[in-house]
Amino acid sequence: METYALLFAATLNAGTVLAIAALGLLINEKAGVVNLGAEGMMLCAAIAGFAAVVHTGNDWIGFAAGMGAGALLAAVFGLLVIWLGTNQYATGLALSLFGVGFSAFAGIGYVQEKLPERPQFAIPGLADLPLLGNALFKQHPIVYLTIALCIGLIVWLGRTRTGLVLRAVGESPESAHALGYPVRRIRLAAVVAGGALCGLAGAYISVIYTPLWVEGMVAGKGWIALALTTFATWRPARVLLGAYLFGGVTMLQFHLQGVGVEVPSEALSALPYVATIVVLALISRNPTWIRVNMPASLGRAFHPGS
Amino acid sequence: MTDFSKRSVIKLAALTAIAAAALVGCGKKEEPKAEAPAAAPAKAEPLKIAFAYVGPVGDGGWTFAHDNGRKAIEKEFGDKVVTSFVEKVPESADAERVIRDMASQGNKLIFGTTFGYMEPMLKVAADFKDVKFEHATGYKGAENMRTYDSRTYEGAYMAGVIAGKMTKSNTLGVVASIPIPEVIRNINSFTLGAQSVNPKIKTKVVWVNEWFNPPKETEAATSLINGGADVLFQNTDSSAVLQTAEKNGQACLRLGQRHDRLRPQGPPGLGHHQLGAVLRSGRARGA
Repeated sequence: METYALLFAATLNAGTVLAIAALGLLINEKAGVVNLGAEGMMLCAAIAGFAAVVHTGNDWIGFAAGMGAGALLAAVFGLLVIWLGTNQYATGLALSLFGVGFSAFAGIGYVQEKLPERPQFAIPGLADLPLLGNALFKQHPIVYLTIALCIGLIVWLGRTRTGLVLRAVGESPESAHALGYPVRRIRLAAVVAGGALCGLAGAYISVIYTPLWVEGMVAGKGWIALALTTFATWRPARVLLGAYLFGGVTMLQFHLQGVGVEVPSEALSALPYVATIVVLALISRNPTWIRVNMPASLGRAFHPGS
Repeated sequence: MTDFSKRSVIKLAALTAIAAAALVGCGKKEEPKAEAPAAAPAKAEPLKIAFAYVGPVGDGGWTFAHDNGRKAIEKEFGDKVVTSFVEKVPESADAERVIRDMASQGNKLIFGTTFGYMEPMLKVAADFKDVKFEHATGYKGAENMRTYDSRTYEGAYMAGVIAGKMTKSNTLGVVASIPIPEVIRNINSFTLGAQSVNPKIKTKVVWVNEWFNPPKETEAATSLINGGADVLFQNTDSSAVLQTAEKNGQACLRLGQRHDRLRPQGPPGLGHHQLGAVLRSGRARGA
């Protein structure tokens, strides 16, 4: 039983990275902008965060640096896509490739660097509970922040005026524009916010999850987060579910290998992807439901006055 | 009229190229004749050596060690060699393109540093008989292609002995990369070494199925530690497993270069041991 408690804890940790990035991309896509540059942003944020912690020794400055790097790249992307009207998918891919290369270049001097010892977290009192303590209450604060972020997004998008405006911009920018809202500036704000969250995810990887720097260390999680947002039909709760499911099955497949299950390890490696796709597709199999949830102007540029 | 002039321009260009090549060819032929009487050529052409890496030079592991080997060659042989490398060459048809490119650029000694380059290198070796190919950790060769490896299984055996003595839970964990013969050999050596000093140990192996994926390696290491392993052994290319082990106060052994910066910070009595199986794969034999 103890092993399962630890497995659950590892799931929360593993899913957090994907969840933060996917929720950031969700904000992007709710406003109608697809940012395929997630991988590049996460890598640049990872090196920014790592370098910040190496030089200052403070994790939170590292997270802030990561968010800043993500926001900066996203802002450049936003200016290109929203004001100059470049193709969103192509620009996003370009950003991704740029991020991969630039982070490798910037990180050359940091490869053998080491961070000060990572603190262990435990909520006093709750952490001593027999099974639940290990499973739930010994996580880094960012893990709990992720859950709070998800709840916050659900409330904000569904029940506040500003959330409604964001959704309106994503569904029908022409109508929002007619009502007098600054559509392009709102989209830019969404893109920057999404970039900041992707940056936070990237910094979390290099500062907490795998506290080192090697080029390409995000290893595809940005792309997985992008797919996750789509498969979860742009609903924050499902994004969180999908992220934890992916993280959980990843840890499970390693656990199964360790226990000695007689399934080829390659098949087990594919299990997280298969499981996440199957579950999310089953949940959202109603085509009308998908059409209702997808922001109608996703991927299309908006030109006021046209 | 335009077509005719284009064709004649192309003809002219082709003739010029052939003439130039002939002149150059003639020129080259004269040199050896003039030099043959001399005892030893004072200024021979430097040997061009090329390396194809599977991962980034900054991986802190396999490719990093190879690149250190390359720099060692440059230091040792100085002017007599000119080295170059291409990193992150995937183990696919792309590898053939890159290696063929290296051979056409005048490299006379080409190192392919991973198992997956075996078939592409065989194909290129058949087409470039005057180039020597060195392939790491494979099992197929040719007239001009040989396999090289380091005796990592010896280091792995020693690691196993240390692990067998250090473990308190009698469970050892291995984070393994891709199931090729060399990796399986290392894991078996590790287990045999541990069993030789502690017959009760059990080795748990987890396959990441990639050479290099730090987050996945971390997850694999975490699942092994959660499953009761208190000494880890890794065969993947980054330092992620080392970091995870340290975070949890476990010991981890790996084959590779020295990590002076990664000092042990676990509880007293446990530490990290970097074995001396430094990969000096860069020594060009008889170059």
